[in-house]
Amino acid sequence: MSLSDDEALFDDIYGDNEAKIEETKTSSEATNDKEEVKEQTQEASTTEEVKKEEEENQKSRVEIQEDQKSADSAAFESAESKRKADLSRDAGKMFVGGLDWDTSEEKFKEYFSKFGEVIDHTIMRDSNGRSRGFGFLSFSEKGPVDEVLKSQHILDGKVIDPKRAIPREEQDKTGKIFVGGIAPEVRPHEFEAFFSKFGSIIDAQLMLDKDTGRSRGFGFVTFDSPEAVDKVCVGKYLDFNGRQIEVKRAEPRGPQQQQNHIQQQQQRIMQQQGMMAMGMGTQVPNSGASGVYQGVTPEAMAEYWQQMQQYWLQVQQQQGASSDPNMAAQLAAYTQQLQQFQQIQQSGSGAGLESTVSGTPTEGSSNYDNTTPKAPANAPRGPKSFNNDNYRGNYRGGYRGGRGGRGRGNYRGGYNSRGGYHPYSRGSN
Amino acid sequence: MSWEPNYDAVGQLKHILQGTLSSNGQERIQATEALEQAKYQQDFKNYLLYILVLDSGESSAQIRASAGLALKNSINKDFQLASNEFLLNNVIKGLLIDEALARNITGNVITTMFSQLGVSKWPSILPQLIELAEKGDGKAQEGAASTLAKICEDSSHILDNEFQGERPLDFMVPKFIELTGSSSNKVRAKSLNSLNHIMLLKTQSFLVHLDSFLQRLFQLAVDQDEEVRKNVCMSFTTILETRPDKLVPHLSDVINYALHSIQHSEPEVALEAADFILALSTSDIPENLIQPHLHNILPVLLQNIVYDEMDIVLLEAEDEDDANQEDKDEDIRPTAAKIKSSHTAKSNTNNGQNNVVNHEGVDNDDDEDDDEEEDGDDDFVSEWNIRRCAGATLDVLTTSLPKEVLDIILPILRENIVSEQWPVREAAILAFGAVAEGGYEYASRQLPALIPFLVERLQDKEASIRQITCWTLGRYSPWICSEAIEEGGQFNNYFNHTFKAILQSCLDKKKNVQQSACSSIAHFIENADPELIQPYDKPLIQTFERCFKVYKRLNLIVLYDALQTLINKIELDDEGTAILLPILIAKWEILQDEDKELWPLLECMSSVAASLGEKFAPYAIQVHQRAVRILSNCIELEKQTIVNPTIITPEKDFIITSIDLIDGLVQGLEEHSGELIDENLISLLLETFEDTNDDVRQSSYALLGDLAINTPNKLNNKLSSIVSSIGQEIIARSNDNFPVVNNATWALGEMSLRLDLSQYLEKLIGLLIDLINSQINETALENGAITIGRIGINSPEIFANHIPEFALSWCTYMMYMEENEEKETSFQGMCNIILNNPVGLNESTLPMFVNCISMYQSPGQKLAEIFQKLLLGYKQMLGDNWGLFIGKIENSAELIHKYQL
Repeated sequence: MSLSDDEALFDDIYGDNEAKIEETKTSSEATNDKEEVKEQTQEASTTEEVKKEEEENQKSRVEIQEDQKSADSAAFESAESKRKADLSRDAGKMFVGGLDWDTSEEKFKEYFSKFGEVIDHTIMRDSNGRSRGFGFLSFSEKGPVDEVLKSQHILDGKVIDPKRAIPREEQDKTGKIFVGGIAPEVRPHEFEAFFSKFGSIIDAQLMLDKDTGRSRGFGFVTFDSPEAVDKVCVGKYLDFNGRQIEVKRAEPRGPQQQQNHIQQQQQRIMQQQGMMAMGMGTQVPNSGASGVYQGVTPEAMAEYWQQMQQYWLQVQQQQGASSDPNMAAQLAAYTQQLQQFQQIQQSGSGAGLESTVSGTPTEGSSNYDNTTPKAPANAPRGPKSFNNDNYRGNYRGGYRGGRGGRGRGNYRGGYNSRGGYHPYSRGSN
Repeated sequence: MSWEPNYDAVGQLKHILQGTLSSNGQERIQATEALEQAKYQQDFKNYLLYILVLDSGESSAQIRASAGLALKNSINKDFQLASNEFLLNNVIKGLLIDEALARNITGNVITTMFSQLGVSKWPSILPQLIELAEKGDGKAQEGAASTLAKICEDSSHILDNEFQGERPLDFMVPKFIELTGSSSNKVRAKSLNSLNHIMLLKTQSFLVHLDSFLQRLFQLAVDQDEEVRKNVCMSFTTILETRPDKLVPHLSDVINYALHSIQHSEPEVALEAADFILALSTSDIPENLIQPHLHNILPVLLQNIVYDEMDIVLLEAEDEDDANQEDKDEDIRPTAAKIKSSHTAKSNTNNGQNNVVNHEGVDNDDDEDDDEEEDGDDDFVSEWNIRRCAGATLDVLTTSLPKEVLDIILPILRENIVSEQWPVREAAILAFGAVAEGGYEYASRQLPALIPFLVERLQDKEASIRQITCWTLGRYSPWICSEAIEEGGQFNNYFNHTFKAILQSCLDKKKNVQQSACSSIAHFIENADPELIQPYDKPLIQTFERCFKVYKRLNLIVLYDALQTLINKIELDDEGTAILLPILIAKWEILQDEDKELWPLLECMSSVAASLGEKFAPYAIQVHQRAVRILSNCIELEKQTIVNPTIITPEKDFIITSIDLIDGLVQGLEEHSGELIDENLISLLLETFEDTNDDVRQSSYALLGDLAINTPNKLNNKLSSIVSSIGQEIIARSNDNFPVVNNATWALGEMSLRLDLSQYLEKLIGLLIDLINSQINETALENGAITIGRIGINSPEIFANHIPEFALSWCTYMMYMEENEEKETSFQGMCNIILNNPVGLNESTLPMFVNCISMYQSPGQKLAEIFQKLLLGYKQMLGDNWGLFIGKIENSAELIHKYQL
């Protein structure tokens, strides 16, 4: 009968929820007591449907108990330490996103059991026990992961998205996360203390402004295990003392060599004396740019440039892989194009850049010339000196239609509350 | 040693209480004063309790009752309550008294005491009550069960807290379930009621018993007692809200039960059952589970939309022409302003505990508690009936299952709409209107035939038909208006006929038709393009003019609103103005400062002033003066009432509408309004920033913003206080009062453009950043972002070092905003901020910001320049990485070309 399917629909939201609420609230002893009571009251009911449900529930309850423990953060760590010891488990680990809200742990496991032996599985849930739409599972070995990745998957009507979880082999890099949006008052020890909740920290670095000593708002943390990273990075944001901070896995970008090459190049440039030349001169078409950053000393510029470079490099190194799956290929393409532009540049047709521009998103048309030193022409850090054209806009008037949303005091929603006639309004609308 | 009263004192007190009930006004006043004095006596409460419960001498029921009432009122704020053994031990005896009234009041007293003491300080009461409910004699059982129900209603959260390692509910829930099997009707009903209140907590203590509860519920569904079955329906509704999954397996049965109850049960049960069906349609239960039952549900709904016999009799007995009858006070419901609190004649309660209050009252029946109080929804509850419920349900169902609903009901409606019996016709027309929103797509096929038919019905001899037809036509105004502007549309001229016909109906001889027509017109105006309405300005103004002469109080409110809608939509020409202004001013002059009719009038005049601008100037001074006078008066009274609570303050609507009026003047007169604005007003405004009422502050910040735009210099002396108040507002934001923070933030932005706020902004940094990183309403977030940007125009250094904290949110809200002055100024400022600290943007926010630039189609000259400056700066900074970077930007080619990078 369709009704029992429907039952199952809600079962996963509420049925499992019962067990979960119980378990997160009380210690495991009390949990057992409640389980008993529940089972007793369930036994008292006699209808078939309830019995059937009870059977199903009992099955999943056992599994749920296990899963619930792993969702509970205290238990998480102990499970984690167990798993840490066994390296081979991680080869078969997968992250699965796009799950339907109603997908239960057992369905989840059942589905993937088709590909191999599932030795561990979890669906991440919020504090109300509702599914957050993603989870993890581990096969006993690596093979099934490859199988899963070969095809598309649909579970409970949703196209789900399994991914290989970060393999252990890259442990030294994958234990690292980037953290952004940190409040300026936060001190390094607080930063470290906060993240130590998730796992043992190898290194925690909160970037500080060297002048003021205050946090620059971002930093990096290296854990000694990928599980800690998993824990931290389940969402894009974390709550840190009431503030949302951004967390991201820091992963290497494609071939390491590419980066090294760029790095070396830039270091070379920095060392060249030619840095003093502010002249953007011939490389830049009439953009009025030459007047932009005048009045700044060369030394200041050099220093700024150096710092900016370092920041940018670091940032590149730590950039999350999820947004750019084929970074290596893209980088290669870029480099090629840049080289093309350089050639054009050197042959003197600076203005014709536009014609070489194609519609692909990877294009970049810059007047790039890697032989002539690049003068950054940037002011050192610090507010006022960067931009002399102090924009004190004498801005007045020209008020064009406000949004404001200020609504002149009236939030006029329908005529019910304004004495208008309505045959079935509930009065105070 | 237990407390013993002094019998003389008892006698005295009884005498006083008697006096308070006297029909002689003088005596009453004296007695009341004496009672006030008596409050300061020691053991006052004990005496009262004694009289209520223990007095073996003669005491009339009334005296007991008033003793009980006085006792209940004095319990609040009594911090010694816990140690009053006498009270704690003896109050329950009141439930043993024969008189129902005394038992009722005792119940109230117990409930009030419990809400203060909780289980921890009064552990004995719950077990005692339960025992009494189980084993006491008939009346005592009922009294105990009623009291328990009240406690569950008022203090269920207390019951859910642990006390000595246990939760009271763990013990009580099974007891309640047992008690639903009691032989006493009342006990069954009240115990079920208690469980319903507990269910709302969604507490584990209840959930473990859910299945046995459900079982019992199905048994109770066929109980002989009406009260029980009423509660059964309420139970189903509550289960729907808390654990719909449990209902799903039984859905068919429950729906059938509800439908059966609607059709055959007593009216109160029927209404609860109807509420269940309504709750079902708004619940989480998937549509596909409800759909199979539509063919049963819909006919029942349609039947019940028809006026019931009583209503029909009353309506038929009405005069055909009542346009000249004045409106009675009871007919005027709370009016224009958004304040939801009720001030009607029926409401005689003053805060206190919202539901308990309704229990007392000397007009209680002997054996019946007052269960009418429902959900504290003021007095509109008395209007809620099956017809309304059915109409609302039809409306909602159509939104989720439009095609299915229409397929079933259209054949029925087509037949009914031409029925000989007018109530059937009326219900069909209502139904058509109810499905208008949800069924828009599907219903439109019917409209070419339906609309002309309805227009004809405006001439029906039955007033109710005319009334409902106006409403239904208003519901289809979106279609009618869109047809009208469609090129070569077949139904272009529908608008003309319909609009004119409804306009005529505004002057119908029946007041309720007038009301319906007028609000329908307002709907049309609101849904139409200005070009569509503009040609009708003359007929509209002329009609309104006549309406002003004819309408009584209630309809005037609708009229003001319709007028305001019109003025906000179209331009009034001189002729129209010449007709309108004198009318409004005439009204203005007649009404006293304390008259509530001022509210809609002031709101209307606010729009008029804003719209007419200079043309309103001749009246500006007197209007302004009076508004300030009203405002000032109200604020003064508010201050006084703190010291002397007996002073009655006028409703907040007076403050709100007078501020709105001043705001309208400022908007209309622009910088010329400077002549009107003085320090006094600014001071008053500052006072209103502290008002606890959200709507007041919403209006005052709106005015602040308009002052900032038009007369900024007037604010100069008070900048510190103003900014401080705004800061408070941002901190205190919530999802309920987001319009206030929205306006405050907007005003701040406008101020920052024109005034030097640099000294005051330090404290706002964190607040504004937190604001736009929060999860509040989107418009408020947008305004927050705009304001941060705008502050950057004059004071970029304030935010420069904090860029990483807000850049992400800022870009998110600003990226897709429409391009206007607000976006322009905000971006200018933001660019300034960035230029102050270019490394504030990181590898995710920099691309985001540059994407914003890329998406900005038409920046003004200044903005374009600063964009270019910024981009070139980054280009240099990024050096070799520029190409990589810019490649990821949307439409980078265009960008590069535009700013010549």
